[in-house]
Amino acid sequence: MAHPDDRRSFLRWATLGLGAVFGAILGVPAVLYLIDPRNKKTRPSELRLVDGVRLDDAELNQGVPKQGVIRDVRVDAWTLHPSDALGRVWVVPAPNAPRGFRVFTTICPHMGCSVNLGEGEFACPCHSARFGFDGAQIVGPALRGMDELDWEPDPTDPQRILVRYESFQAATSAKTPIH
Amino acid sequence: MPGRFSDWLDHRIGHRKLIDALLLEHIPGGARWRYVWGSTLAFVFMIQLITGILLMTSYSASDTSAWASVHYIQYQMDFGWLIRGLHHYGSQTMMVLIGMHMLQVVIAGAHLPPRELNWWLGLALLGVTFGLGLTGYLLPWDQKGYWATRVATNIASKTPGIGEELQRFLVGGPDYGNHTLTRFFAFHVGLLPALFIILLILHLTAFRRHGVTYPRNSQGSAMFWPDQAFRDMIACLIVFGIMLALVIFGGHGNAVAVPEDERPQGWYEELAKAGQKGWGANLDAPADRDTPDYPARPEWYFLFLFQLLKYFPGDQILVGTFYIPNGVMALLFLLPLFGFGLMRKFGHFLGILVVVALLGAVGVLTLLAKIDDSPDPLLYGLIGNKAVWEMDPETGKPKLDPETGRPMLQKDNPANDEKVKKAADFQHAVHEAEIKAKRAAQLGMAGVPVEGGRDLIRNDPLTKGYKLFETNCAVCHRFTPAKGDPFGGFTKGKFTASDLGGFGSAEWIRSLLTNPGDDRFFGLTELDGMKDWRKGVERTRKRMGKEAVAQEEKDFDMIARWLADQARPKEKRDPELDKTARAKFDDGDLDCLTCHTIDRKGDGAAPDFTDYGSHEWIRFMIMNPGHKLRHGLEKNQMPYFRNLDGPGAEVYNLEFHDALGDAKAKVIPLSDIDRELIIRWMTRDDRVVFGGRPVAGPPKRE
Repeated sequence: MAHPDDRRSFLRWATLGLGAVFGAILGVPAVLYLIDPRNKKTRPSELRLVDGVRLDDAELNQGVPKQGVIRDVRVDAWTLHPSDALGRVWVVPAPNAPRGFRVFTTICPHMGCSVNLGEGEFACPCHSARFGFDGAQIVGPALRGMDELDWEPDPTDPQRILVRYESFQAATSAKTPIH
Repeated sequence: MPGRFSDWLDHRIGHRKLIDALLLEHIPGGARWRYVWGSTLAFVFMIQLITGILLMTSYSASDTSAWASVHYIQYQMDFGWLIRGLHHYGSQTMMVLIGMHMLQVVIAGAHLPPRELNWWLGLALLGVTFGLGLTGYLLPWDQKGYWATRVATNIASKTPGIGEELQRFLVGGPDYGNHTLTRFFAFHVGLLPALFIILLILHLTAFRRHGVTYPRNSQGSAMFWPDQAFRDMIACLIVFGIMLALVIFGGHGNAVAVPEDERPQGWYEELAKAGQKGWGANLDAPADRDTPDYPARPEWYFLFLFQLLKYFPGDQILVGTFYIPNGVMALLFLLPLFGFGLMRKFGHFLGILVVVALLGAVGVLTLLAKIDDSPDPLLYGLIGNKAVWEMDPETGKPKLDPETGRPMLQKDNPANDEKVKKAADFQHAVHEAEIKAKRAAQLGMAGVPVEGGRDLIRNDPLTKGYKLFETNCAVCHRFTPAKGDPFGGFTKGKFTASDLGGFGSAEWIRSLLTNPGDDRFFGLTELDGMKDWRKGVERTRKRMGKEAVAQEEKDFDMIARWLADQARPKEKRDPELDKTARAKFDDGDLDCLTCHTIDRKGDGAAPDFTDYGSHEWIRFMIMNPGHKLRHGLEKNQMPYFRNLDGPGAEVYNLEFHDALGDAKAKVIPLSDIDRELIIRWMTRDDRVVFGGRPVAGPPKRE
């Protein structure tokens, strides 16, 4: 015959143990469910048409950057947007660049606001970062210059451009694509 | 009876003991006004809880419906403006009361042992309150909340070690959207309030353990009920009165216009729907990721953190976002530890010093943030930027730039430095954003499209149609707007085609009949048909008597009115006018049917007048101006604006190109929606364009 204290001790541990099992069965999936966003991926950055800018644009060739929109199907969790703006880019004339133009995303590398065109420069309205047309920061809080994107002329119409549109981690000195 | 019922109930549940335990708290030193701050905080939290649950009954957390549901609460539901307004200003009230409460606590020395644990619980409550403010700001899914949250989560990404994982956890994936909203919603209505309640219970329990910290030489004694409770009640009523005043007179809501027959009737409806006249909290334009220039700012009680960010650029970013805020929290955490033994007096003093300095710093930083954003001085002209505007002597206000519509800074004035220009730019951006907010509030009254509130602005004829007309049409066409027309127009530039301002109106047609060669009509074009016709009219008139000419003028008036009437739906046209005017039009003397056609009658290459000036007529003109029912292939000079996207478009365009034959046609791509926006802008029809998107499926997998 076991001592009553032993029996109670067993019951104590067994109750706590069973509780722990129950907690684990619910708790582990609960945590995994909560951190599910780690699995979500952005779509691969294929080449997409820049809407609203042509390379033979008169103003563009006089040195004024032009803004274009990238549109495509966008899936936001359960919602499918048949034709949404994925983002915007600045097309900047750059005589020294291989194809004469450079393309930057409008997303500020500091905190993710949209960078505007100022007088002879780009300016962010949120925390006052200012960038030159070469994308380098003139003055401001950003840790890197504006993010340049790969682009190619559209094979069907060489005055239109295709860009590899990507988002990058904000507020870092390294330009890391978000996947 | 109540007494006997109470006896009966107490015998069964023993509630008296509970109530006594809650209310019959002994207050050494007597009841005091200065003890009210904690109670007011608990009171406002209760308001937040009640209004929050009420809001939850009507709120829908999704990218496409959140803004719409908040708009519905604000403008359509009885007293929605009040419930939402109280909740909105309640959070701000709590922030202010927390400051007062903390100040009172350190002044009393109530943060010192043996109450240090309670001080720490208070700090935790402060953190949760900030969390509630931050998460709640996003929920309307308006521009303010959306862009401020983008910044806030990017700041979170800088947390050493776990930042980027934390950001992804909060945002709910690599991009902002539905899951950001559902997560913030869950934190805001579930996790954080639960935490708040638990901490509050602990806070109150710990408070009861040692009671109030009364001044050393105070005398007398009282019970919480009713001595202190009465004071608390008065204080809560004052706080509630201030909140109500802010909701009603805060002036941050946007008034909307309601059609005559739907206007609130009588005092009850007036009050229940007061959101429509601008009472209640602000609702910004719907969140749109595709906004090129939104001037993001956080809610005012976070402005000090925002300002702090500016002082630590580049690699120092963590100092402003992490080390200083957390350092301050750590310092607050350590404050009670200076209260042991001999240090107690110093600890008391240090507590006051730190909290006063902290509140002062928060105040100064908030003010600096406001100063940076304002081109004009603040606080009755005492501090801040001093912009020098180009004044209009007539109105006494700054002149507006005719191109951009913004107030003009005086050129070459050294006072207008970079800072002033930046602040002026910011204020302009805010102004533009407010216009969009007002517009969205108004458009939402007709319902919000299933694609979400952002389509109200993306597909708004007034603002978007204007831009589209500018890039597609105003290259050739002038558009002189009527005076005070909110849609605006285009009157500057080198135009090569007709002035479309007032196109299709009786006045426009009548003037055309008098002088088709005017620049307003065909003067800038090579379309000579009407010019030749008018020459013919002049020639004939030489042979006509005065009365006959006057009669002909009258006929022209009538025909102009009749043609203008063709833009209206058939059943709404004037049948009398149609009878008489059509007869004149058909009359060989005026020679209309030689060139024009209407309702399948007549022949010739000049434009068909069937439904002239209607959306259908304009649509045909935009898509196929060279068709024989418009200007004809040979005479047409206008490009063809066509939708080149979507399945079926190739077939459609092939047929179109075949029909053109050898004629050289310039085709410019213009989507269905953009075309409709232009038509509605032209006809001053401000209804949002819904639907009509290219058909699409989910992204194809390789």
